[in-house]
Amino acid sequence: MNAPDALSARDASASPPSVRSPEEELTLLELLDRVLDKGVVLSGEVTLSVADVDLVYLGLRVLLSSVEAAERMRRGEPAGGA
Amino acid sequence: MVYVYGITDSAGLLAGPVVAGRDGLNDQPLESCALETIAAVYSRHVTNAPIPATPENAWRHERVVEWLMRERSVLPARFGTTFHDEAKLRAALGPHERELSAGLRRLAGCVELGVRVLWEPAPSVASPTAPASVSESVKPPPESGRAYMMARLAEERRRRDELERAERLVDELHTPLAQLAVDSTRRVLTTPQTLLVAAYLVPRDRTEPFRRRVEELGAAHPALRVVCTGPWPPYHFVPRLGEPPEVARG
Repeated sequence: MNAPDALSARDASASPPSVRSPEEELTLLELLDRVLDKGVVLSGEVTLSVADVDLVYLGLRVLLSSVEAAERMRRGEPAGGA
Repeated sequence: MVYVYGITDSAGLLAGPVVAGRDGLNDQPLESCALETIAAVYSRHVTNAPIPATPENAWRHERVVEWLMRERSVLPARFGTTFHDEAKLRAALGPHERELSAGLRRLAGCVELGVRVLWEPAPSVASPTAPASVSESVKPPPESGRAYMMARLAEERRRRDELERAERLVDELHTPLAQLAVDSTRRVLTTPQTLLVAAYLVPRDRTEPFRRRVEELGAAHPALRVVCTGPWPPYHFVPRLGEPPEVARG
């Protein structure tokens, strides 16, 4: 069994965001979509700060759009599309 | 407070300090609290301050759930699920034991695979709100209203065409993958660049054929960026407590 994508991205999770590869960015996005938004909700006190969640996603969105810009440039397309 | 990572079957899981040493959030040891058929795995924290939702903490939560998933069926808890103490946790689990137990049986032997598809949305026609391109053709004032309406119509048409194109592509990608899965969920165009975000519940021993199919579909659509992640714990397929069982979508 080969290692899941999740594992390689986890190793990089300690690094500053700026050195995450596009694949790690996407894996982190996939993780956050699951951990923060899915899973069993027990009727406990869910101590999740909305500000935290916004912050963690905000950082990603910026990076994700730059990833997409990089992809576009690699394909030699104009950057103005989006 | 106690912080909950997930629910698993109680068989073979001893109560009290258990599992993998100091592997929980803030390096706290993992413990378990067992009812008759299910058990919750948690860590104990001296403070009641919320655990911040950072990438590192999210990965730590995930690592505990994945560790549990290696040996047994597990229902991952949502990040940030805490109780004042073990007694409160036990009291919250009790009324849902049957539902949780059924959820564990349903997910036994399965993992979740994620598929995210990025695409290049068609560039928008000269935006109706952007005056630059209109002023270039020196329109007299009466005609600028007409130009505005024409631009809006064109934009409307573009949006409709794009939606049709998106639905067609999603059908080509999602349908063959859903056929390989026990259950699936999908979201379309969550952002302009994100064509599809889907999750598939797949038997653990069928993940490789599933990944191969994703690769084939990616190769057949070179203009799209098709990414497969996982195996994940089945976050998308846990029971919603207190609600009738969810009907599979797509």
